[in-house]
Amino acid sequence: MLCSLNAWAYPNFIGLGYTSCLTCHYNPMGNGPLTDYGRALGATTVSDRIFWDKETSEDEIGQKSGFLYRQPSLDWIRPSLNYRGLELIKSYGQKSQENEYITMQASANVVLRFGPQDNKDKFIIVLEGGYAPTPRSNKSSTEENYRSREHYIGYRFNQSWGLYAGLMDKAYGIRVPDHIAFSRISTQTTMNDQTHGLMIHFTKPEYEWAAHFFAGNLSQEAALRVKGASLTGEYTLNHKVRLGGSLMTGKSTYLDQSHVSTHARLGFGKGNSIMGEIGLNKKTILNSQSTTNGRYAFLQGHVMAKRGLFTLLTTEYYVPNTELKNEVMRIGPGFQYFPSQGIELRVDIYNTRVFSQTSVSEDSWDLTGQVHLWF
Amino acid sequence: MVLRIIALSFFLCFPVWAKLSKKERDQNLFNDAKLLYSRGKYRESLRMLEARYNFKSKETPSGAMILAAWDLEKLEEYVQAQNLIAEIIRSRFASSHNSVMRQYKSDGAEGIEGVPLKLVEIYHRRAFLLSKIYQQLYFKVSAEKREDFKRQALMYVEIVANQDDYEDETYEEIPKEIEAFDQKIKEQTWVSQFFMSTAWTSWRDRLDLLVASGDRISIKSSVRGLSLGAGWSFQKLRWRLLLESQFTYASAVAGRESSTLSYFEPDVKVWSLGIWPAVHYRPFSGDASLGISIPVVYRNGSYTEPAGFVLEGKSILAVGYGFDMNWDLNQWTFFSRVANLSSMSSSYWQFGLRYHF
Repeated sequence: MLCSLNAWAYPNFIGLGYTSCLTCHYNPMGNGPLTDYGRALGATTVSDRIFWDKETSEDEIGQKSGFLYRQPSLDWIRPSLNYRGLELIKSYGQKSQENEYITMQASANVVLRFGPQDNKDKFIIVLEGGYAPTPRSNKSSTEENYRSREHYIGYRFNQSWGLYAGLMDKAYGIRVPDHIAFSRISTQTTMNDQTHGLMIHFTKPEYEWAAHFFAGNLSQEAALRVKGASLTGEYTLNHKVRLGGSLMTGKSTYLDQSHVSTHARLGFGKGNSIMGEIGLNKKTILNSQSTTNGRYAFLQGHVMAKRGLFTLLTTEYYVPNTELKNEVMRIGPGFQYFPSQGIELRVDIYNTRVFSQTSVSEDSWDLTGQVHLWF
Repeated sequence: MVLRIIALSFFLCFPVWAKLSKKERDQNLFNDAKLLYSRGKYRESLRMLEARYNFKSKETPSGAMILAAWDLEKLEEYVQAQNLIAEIIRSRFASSHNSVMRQYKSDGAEGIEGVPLKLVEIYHRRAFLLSKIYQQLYFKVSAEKREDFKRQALMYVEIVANQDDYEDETYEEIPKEIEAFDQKIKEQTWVSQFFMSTAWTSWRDRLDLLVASGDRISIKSSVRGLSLGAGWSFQKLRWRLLLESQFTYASAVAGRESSTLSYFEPDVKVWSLGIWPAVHYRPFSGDASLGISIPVVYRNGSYTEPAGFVLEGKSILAVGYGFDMNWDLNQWTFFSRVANLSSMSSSYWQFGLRYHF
């Protein structure tokens, strides 16, 4: 659950005191475009101010956080542009080293706000289209590279209840921006796993939950569409501690899968955080009726070195098949820097180690550098 | 000079003075003391008042006592000033004060209304004095006592802040000053603590099989286990020095498949003893820190030597460097560490908890 694939605001911002994604996002589960408040927050509290002179006040920076660094002139429309590129170096320093630059996302989106004057975000239409790369794990995919990444209608009946319908990310677990995280790959909730569906969202300061009923991505072949439902929720223990859990079940022509997880997000001091999620996966290949049980754990800590700059350490554990007893662990120290609103730079090292009772393999080292721009 | 002028005036005016009533003489003396106070002659003002009045007496006018307290405050005799203020409250505002205290204890400061303006002013000064005493006696009194000074200072600020008719808003500076002082103390004071730790640990051993011909065949080994440790931390607001010793008991899987050798050994018992000196820095606002460590680790593994081979690297002494991240919650620290150690073929990982006593 909670927070963004498109990475304008992240679930670790609980360290800055922001527990709920709805504070900053049109999508209450934290994906996609930011609200005016979210953009202003991103420009001030989250980002460094290296491109602003000392005389420019935080209020002025916040006011210029709209599309193309301008103050919005029309209150019914909010456009934005989004780009994310990744330099991937696999098997760093080894003979088999591979370098690849991947454009992960290049899209334009628009939010149409049809709510009453005093609450324009009460009724919204969100449209986002653009480039998405062919998945590395499925190079034969026939899916178009240029397509709608999300489009949905949202209506909030009141501050607590909201209804959303359209193409969205599935509501499940902590939605970290690390789209290669085992917690996201194994549950099929990563960057190109959006689905058409209907989501009911309920929020109060003490707790928040969402139920998502989905019919698969209708632009995919019918046999590949995963139909099912998910339920996710978080309980606010205090303003810097949230505990949560998720359930999801889905079925396509080929695969029946179910997932369960529990997670926690903790803020420390100002800007520092730890997030953890553990989950179980069950997948049955329907043709062969063979069932695989797996489990995963995700732990990510952030330390805010200065405004805009985070040091992070990601630790992951993954057992794709509990019968085979091969356990994968991956540890990744990294840096994430927001020099100014609309710019994110990130570098990560991934050291992967496999523990097996039947073989021994070398560690692998991968290096990634990301640039993310949004205007 | 001012005293001389006052003395001269006294002698010149003595005939007139003698004819004045006691009340009028007191008023003149008070005016002179006020004049001295306004000119910054606090010691002289105080002496003049002390010469005339007994501050323990109920007969002493409130104005004289308050002026004496203000003199003492300016002279940085905070404890004496506070004692005098306490006496003023006890002897002049007992009823109102007791009522305020009762309301504060039962409902907090928000509901307290109708406090006499003079008493509000006295509370303001008392808050200031208590905050100064808190700072002045910080290292001279017990922790409980100094916390009591701070608590009382903040209580009076809270009460004053809820009085709408009171216009002097300088009381707002008192909590800020206390906070700044506390921060400074934290920055300057090193605290020594003993701690114990436990951690999940993993590394990869570097082993070589020596063949009779002199050739070496490297063996891969993945190790993971549990560490128990103890040590001391010395820390102040931003910096922490850590000295930790750790014992690790682990299990390894070792093996090598090649055309000349097939070697595989699961569940190898491995233990290590390490010393981890570290420096950590809290970069932003506490509760989390980054740091480096310089470990020295002795490791011993019960690896089996295949017949005809000599296994090199069963025991090693490794040194290296580590990158540490820590998150603090009260007495607990969750820590993670990635290190590079000599004689180990890849990175060294550790995740664990420390408890500080």
